[in-house]
Amino acid sequence: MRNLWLLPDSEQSGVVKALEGRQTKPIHEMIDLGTLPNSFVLGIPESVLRENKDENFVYAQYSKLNNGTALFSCSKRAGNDKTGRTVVITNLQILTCNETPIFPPEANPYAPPADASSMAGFYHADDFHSSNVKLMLEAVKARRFINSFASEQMPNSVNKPQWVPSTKKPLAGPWD
Amino acid sequence: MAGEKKVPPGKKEKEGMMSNIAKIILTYLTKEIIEKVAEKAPEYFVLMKLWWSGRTIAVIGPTASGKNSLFDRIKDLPPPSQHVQTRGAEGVGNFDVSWGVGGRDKIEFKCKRSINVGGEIDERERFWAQACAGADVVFYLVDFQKLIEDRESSIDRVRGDFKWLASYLKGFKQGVKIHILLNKVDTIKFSGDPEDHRDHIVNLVRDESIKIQDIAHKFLGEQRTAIVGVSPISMIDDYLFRTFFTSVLSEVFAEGTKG
Repeated sequence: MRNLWLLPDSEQSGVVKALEGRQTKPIHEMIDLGTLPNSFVLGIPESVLRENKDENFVYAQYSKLNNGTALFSCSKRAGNDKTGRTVVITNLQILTCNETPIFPPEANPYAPPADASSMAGFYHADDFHSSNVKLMLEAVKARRFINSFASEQMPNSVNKPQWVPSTKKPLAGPWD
Repeated sequence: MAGEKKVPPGKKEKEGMMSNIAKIILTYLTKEIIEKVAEKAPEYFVLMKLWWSGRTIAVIGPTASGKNSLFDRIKDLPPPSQHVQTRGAEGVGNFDVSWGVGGRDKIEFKCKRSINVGGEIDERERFWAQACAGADVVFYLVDFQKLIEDRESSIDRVRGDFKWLASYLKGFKQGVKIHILLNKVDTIKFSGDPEDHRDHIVNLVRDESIKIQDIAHKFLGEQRTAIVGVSPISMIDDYLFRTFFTSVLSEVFAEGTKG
């Protein structure tokens, strides 16, 4: 399994950097973007992010590729960039056919402190915030002939995954 | 965009002639002068309305260059309470634009099937072609403030984007027009007479506009005819947006109907 962290672009450099082991490089130099299905978003679609305002909200996706590998990603908010836009951190797991996704994802010990804190945030996601991710991972196991999954409904997406939860989760309570 | 329009005999030539004349007049003109032109040549605005009706617009550009804000502006939406990084390709939906020009006249056009995309390099590689595929007009946004503050990386990015456009342009709709918008010109300090504000900006961005247009022409080569030009714009200053956007609509129309 390859375990990559797509770091928040807090400086608005226009380049999403990925951390794998000790190495940090632009994501477009680290993986072949052409192999990714269009429905697999490296981050959180804007409409999903706007719909789910909670700080601990987690969004996940899973896609099977033609070469036998699979992709799992989970993303959450990671503060604001230099002009106040919300940015996200994403964990991307590239899995061989026998591997299953790890959620919450393993943090990278070489991450800069600010990013390490965002990585740890996945462990703060309670049952409510991770329920759709778990629901999606159960669907991945059960629906063997479906190739693309997402943990949220995506009415605005141009490239829709084949599976999304059929019902919207209830709104968070006032304690969230 | 709506299907092919039936053009009455002679209309195309007339549009071409009108627009060639108007192109010279309208480049960088103020909204006030455009309104005077509208009074003298109302037919021009009728033709402009017809030309813009049913067009599909694509808005592309680097991170935080103002793509969402432009969509919100032309959809007449209030600025969002929270700005977020756009990732993936999302449908903007069909929307109507009613844009007042020439005093009593309004350009009303329908935007169809527009797609909103992110500005990072990986998003460009994955989704920009999809957003531009059916577009009649592509607005390419450049952050003017960043161009001044971080010139080297901004110019590198513009070069990369036009290199990308050069490789993908053949797959776009035939006759597509690309207009470059230098956004965030409201950051240029100005303390004089409000009537001189526009001219002050135009003078200050002239060199940068020429530089960006040179890059676009260099990379597009023979395809350079797709480029309409470079205009300053501001998404947050109402006066500047209205002034420059009216001019942009005229320039794109004039170029789009050129023989």
